[in-house]
Formats: sequence, C-alpha cells, structure tokens
Amino acid sequence: MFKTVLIANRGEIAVRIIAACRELGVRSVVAHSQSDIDALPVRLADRAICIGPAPSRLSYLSVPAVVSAAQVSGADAIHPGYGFLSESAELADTCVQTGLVFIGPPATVLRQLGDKVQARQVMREAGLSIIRGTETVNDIDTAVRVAAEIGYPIMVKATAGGGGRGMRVVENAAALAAALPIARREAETAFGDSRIYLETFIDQARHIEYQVLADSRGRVVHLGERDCSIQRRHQKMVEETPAVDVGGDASRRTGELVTAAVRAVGYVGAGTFEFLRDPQGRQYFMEANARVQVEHGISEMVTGVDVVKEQIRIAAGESLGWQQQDVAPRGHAIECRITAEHPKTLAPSPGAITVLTLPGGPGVRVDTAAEVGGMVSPFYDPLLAKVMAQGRDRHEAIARMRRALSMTSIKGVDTTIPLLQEILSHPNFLDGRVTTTFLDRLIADRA
Amino acid sequence: MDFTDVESLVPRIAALMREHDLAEIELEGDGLRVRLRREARVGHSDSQSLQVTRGGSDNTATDVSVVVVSAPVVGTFYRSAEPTATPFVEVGDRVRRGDVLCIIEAMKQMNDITSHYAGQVVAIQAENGEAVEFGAQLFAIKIDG
Repeated sequence: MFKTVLIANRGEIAVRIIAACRELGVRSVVAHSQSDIDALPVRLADRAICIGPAPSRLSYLSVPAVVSAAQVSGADAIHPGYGFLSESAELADTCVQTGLVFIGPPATVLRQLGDKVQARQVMREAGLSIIRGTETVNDIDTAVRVAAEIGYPIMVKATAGGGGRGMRVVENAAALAAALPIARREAETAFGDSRIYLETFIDQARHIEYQVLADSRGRVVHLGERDCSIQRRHQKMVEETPAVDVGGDASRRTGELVTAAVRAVGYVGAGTFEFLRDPQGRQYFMEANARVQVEHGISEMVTGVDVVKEQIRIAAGESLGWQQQDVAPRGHAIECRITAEHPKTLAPSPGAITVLTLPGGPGVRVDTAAEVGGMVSPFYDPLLAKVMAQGRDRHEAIARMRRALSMTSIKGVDTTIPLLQEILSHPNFLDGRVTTTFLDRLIADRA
Repeated sequence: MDFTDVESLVPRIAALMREHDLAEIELEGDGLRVRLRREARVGHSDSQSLQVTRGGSDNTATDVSVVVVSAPVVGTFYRSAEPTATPFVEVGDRVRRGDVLCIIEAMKQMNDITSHYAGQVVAIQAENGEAVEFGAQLFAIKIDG
C-alpha cells in the first residue's frame, strides 16, 4: 500500500478521498489553489500544499504543479478525484515517467476512451450496442450529408468531450449548419480539441450507467446500474440505484457485456459506462467515464463496496476485494446534488455560507466540504453537498430523501433544495416515468 | 510589533496579510508608518510592496520600499546553481533587474527566479533544499530610489 497519496482536487471529493486514505492508514496531502487555503480538505489532510492561484488552469489543471507538489511532499501516488485532471492521459503519462502512481486507468486507456469516436468503435467491437452516429465530421457539407443518412433530431458532440459538456441537439440541416461552427469553437475552448461528431438524438430515453471496478489482474465487478435521467443541460441533479425500470435479465446481460468490455479495453480502476435506454428497453453505449464519479456514493450504500478505497487498493497493485457473486445490492438509494444556484433561474450563487444544518438519521449520508463561514467560489463548481438516502425500497428511499432535505438548511447562498423537493414530489418521478428531458422541460414550463 | 527593525518587520507583516488574506495593510508606531500592498499577478511571482515612512530627526520623512518575492511555482528551493556553488545572493547583496535570485526545481526543471527590481536583498525567507509552495515568501528586496 502507498505511504502517501496526493489529492489533486478540492471540495467534497477531496474530503471523500481523505476519508478513504485515513481508513487505509495512508497519509494524505491535499494540493490546493490559493483561494482554497481555508477550505475543509486543506485542514483535514495530513498536509496541504498550495500549487497555484485560484484559476484552475494555473492550479488544479496544471500537470507540472500537481506533479511537483507530489514530488516535494514525498507522495507515492496521485488521486485526481473527478473533473480537473481525472481523465488526463498527460498526467497519467507524467506520473509513470516520474515514478508516481496515477490512481486511475493507464494513459493508453484514457486516450482511447477520451476520444469518443474511438470509444464508440471499441465498445461496438466489444459487443455493446452504440447509438447511430458518425466518425469525426470536419465540414458542414459532410455533416449535412451524413446527418440526412442517420436522421434528425441529431446530437452534435465533441469528439474529445465528456461529462455532458459541449453537446447540442439540432432538428434540421439549417440548424446543424448553424450549430457546427459554434460547437467546434465550444469544443476547442472546453477540451482544446475542436473535433465534432454526430449521433442520433434519442428522445424519451433514460440515462443508465454501470459502475465498474477492475484490478490489474483481470478481475472485474460491476455494482449494478444507476439511473441519472434527471439532468439539466446534461448535468446530473438526482441519481438513483437501481434504475426503476431496469433490473432482471436485461440489466444482468448489460452488466455482463460491460464487464467483457472492461476486459477488452484493459481497463483498470473505478469507472462508469453510460448508456441511453430507449422506451423499447434497448440500451446504447454513450461514453465511459474513466474516474470515480460524483454519484458513486449511492452504489456504495446499496452494495457496501467502498469504491474509493477499492480504487486506491487497485492502484497499489492489490487484488479487488470483491467477486461479482459477492456483490448483492440491497434496497434502493437516491442522491440529490445540492448546488449553490438559484432554485428557479439556476443562476450561480457564490458567497459565504452563514447557516449550515445538514441531515442525518437512518439511511442518510451526506458528502460535503461546506461549512459555516466557508466561501462558495465563483472559480469552481457550485456543488455544496450530496445528500444520499437509502431505503428498503424506492418508496422508503424517496420518503427518507424528502425528510432529509426538509431537515437541511443552508443560508448565505441560494440553493437548489426547493427544486429538488419539487422533483421528489413530481408525479412523473414518483411513477418512475422520467427521461433525460424531464428537468429541462420542468424548468422551461415554469419560466 | 517592533518598528525599529524594518528587515524583520517585512516578513512578519507579509505573513499577517497572508494569514488574513489582506490586500493592503497600514500600520503606525515608533515614528514609522508602514503600508504593505499585495499584488497577485498571474504567471509571475506574487510581489508585495512595502512603503515605510520614517519620521527623521529633522522631521522629514524618508521613503523605503521593500518588495517580497514569492514562489511562482511549487517545488524545491535552491539558493545556488549546484550544491557546491556559492549562493546566487546573500543578505546585503545588491541585485539588478533580471538577476537570478534562486532556482525552484519542479519536475526536474530548474526554474530561474529573477528579480523584477533593482535593490538590496534584506531577507532570505526559505532554506536551501526546502519544499516551497506556490506563493511562499522567498526574498525581501529593498528597492532603490
């Protein structure tokens, strides 16, 4: 096992990784920006090291700063968390060159899965269904021609994309021609890569994903499926496991296919395979997220598997502590992401937290780095807390979540708690009839 | 706070400012008024300028300006080009704009840290071979003029 792990992240995920390190008896060092100097993870870690100014580009996204911090603090490994450098093949490569361990998949796998066009091809070869789509399209004429072949509406996506960024839906050729240059520019800004490809837009679909863990000896397990259909502009807000309308044979078959695909690409570590499930129950591979995900906690609640600890153990060369037959999910779990945004307009709401009361009680877990006096910085993601609730069944999980949110009080910044409560009592959600367009429509109808 | 020793005053005030995240501070005592302002300049070393106004015997104030040079990158601080070489600068040395003050090694890359000012080194605030974080105070330089 490692002696010291450098955590190249901030907020709740940094706290989550510190917790895993502590349980494993591993020293934790948090690499932080100047504006996070008073943040909770900086105080909780065994050591903290400032790596740059507030803008992420010069701190959390700087490979030299992160690696240098690992070297001067005597770390053996770097845990990148999610976002920032978590899927950076450059960081993974640099770690290998400098004798550090990158807690994540090998750089070759990151490159393969990071290129969404390549990932689609690899997954198709591994036996997964993929959404009808194209290779990278370079010009408007080609785009319009191939779009006519696959049919509208069409989703324009960044080849180097992921995490829901840089995607737009177009209904016809004129809209596609207009959207393409903008999408290319967006992709260039967000990912430093302007390549674009097209996919059929599947309306009325659910977002289903499989959490996997794979060690370096070829042992692979999946922790079942999560339903993350409640999204606003492709950013998840409420997640649950298991998915309400999956389960049974279809779910087990996809689980087996995912496990096979994980082996086929030589995946090592924790990761997620995302699918769209259409109203006929067909599941199409969308993308693989080669990192720990925000919503990993609900899978931990129902399976008892500590994803972050397993991730660190795997990176240290240990065998996965679980076999597929040992993974027996119990009950149902839901996560609500409380963000510092206005509940109606969803405008970001940076500021100082003046009141913070977090829920507890049976079946409730809260992952957060928020504290009274803490600042919600305009520089970073507005996530304040992840509230998770588990119950014997979906009904109890929902009741617990509603109860937990009603016992939560955050003041000083606007929060999405009222919107989350509205979602949790919406008849479509209660009936398990939500799709990926549910939340955007709910917000649009209200406006 | 002891206002008689300007050299030890600078690092102490600078530390105070960092601790409380202050952009500017003004202190007065012992016939001395001290104003310290921090300017974070992205991509450059964060420099701090200090203005000290000393009430002289003839009651005319003299201006002394001291800047603090801080680490622009996280890494290992070296005072000389190689272990056996003499340090780039010592306390009391005069430096010109562009003179190398130290090296910070980050990922096997030796980053020369140069002075943006001409003046006299009044304090060296990091140890040779020490790990320094971004923003760590390295030198105090009393600016000419």
